[in-house]
Amino acid sequence: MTAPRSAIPRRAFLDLAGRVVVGSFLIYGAPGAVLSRLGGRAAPSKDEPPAEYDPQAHEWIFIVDTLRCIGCGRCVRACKEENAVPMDPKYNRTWVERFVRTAEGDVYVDSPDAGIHGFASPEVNEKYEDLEITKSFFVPKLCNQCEKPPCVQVCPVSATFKTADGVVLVNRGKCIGCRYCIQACPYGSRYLDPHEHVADKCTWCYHRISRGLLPACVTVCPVGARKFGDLRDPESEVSRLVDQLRMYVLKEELGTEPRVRYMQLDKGVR
Amino acid sequence: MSYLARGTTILVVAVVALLMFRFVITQRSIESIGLIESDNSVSWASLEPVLGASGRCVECHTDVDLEWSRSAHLVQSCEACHGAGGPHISEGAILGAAKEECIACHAAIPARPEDFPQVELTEHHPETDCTTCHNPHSPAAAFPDVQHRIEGRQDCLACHGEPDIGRLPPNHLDRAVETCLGCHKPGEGVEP
Repeated sequence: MTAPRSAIPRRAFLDLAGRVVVGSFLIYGAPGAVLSRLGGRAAPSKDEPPAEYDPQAHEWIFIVDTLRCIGCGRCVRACKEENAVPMDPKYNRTWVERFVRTAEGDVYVDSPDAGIHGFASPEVNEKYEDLEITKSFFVPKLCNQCEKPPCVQVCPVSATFKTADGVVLVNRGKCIGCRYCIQACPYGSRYLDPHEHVADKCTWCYHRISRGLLPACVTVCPVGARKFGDLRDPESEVSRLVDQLRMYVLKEELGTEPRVRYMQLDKGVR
Repeated sequence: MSYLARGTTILVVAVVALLMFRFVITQRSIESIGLIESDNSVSWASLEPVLGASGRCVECHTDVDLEWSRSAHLVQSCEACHGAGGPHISEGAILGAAKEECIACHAAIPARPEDFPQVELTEHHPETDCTTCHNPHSPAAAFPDVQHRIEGRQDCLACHGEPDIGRLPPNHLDRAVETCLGCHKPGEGVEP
């Protein structure tokens, strides 16, 4: 009887192992590489991409003025119309919160239906009727397009990425819908698209800004509480504001370096 | 000497291997090696915008443009109140705006900035449609500048007979309705 050890000679084993390694790359790796070039199940494209747009030449920034916001909710509606976000109030790329400070020193926060219908109806105001309100204001929120985004860091398949001009996007063809990024975002800015089961988030209307338009929420804001522009353009309103005013970011202690800056922000905002 | 060199070599190889392993197990390497190409920003940029510029609306609606372009609502985009214009162009959908659109911005609630024009809904003509007195394309903050819409019939007293918006001077009380327009021109300051 020969020993089992010699059942497969070393040379034959190495030959087989080599074929398995090379073969498995050819079977699994190469189609993957080809598919990734094609972009897979990418965002639908009706129109040609704007040919002139160079992401390297821009540095977008978003400024929110909480003292101007009137809580009308037009931004929330415009965002849903522009980006086909489900009308269900659970799914939002942007929303408006109301902060209420009372004489007892309490801070209340509410956002009925994400603020899409405004805050004027009696039902959303009756809970404050018996309280002595000392200060109250609205805070529009959206993806902060962090310079150091936790969502990008945690994605196990690298489906979410940062563009050169400072926007965090999701490659819908790569996303496996594991929700890890939704958990990781400290601002609650992401949701799972209920139709395609992929992560979705604010893109700062990437298709608009790359054509020289403003994001939809900025376009419809009736009071200029939302401002958007290019830091590379020294003449832009945002450049001027950033140069002159003290800007605040949400949850600065997390070190995410948000690109959404807040002017004149109350200390109670989280 | 040779075992020292061998030890150093093993150490260097181990450190290099560790660094390589560390590079491979971190996220950043996946893209830089070229295994995955996630950046599909071009396909995001190629989506078609839905909301247009207000300038496109007034290309046809020139009558509205005449009022709107001189009014306090000039800074508003048409689609802020009327919604996305796409269905109007493709299917001829009519984009009206209801009282809710006015209320969404102008109802008095504590969180609004004090200098923003607001009305108490329960006190300011709760039963009346806003557009009875106000033209949303040319609104006005002070009452005498409200754009009047009088079509054929002289219904001045419908409003100006009421005590709270009356402003009918005592010597006008017995004058006939038909004479109003002889002196006052609706829509241009109402001072005679």
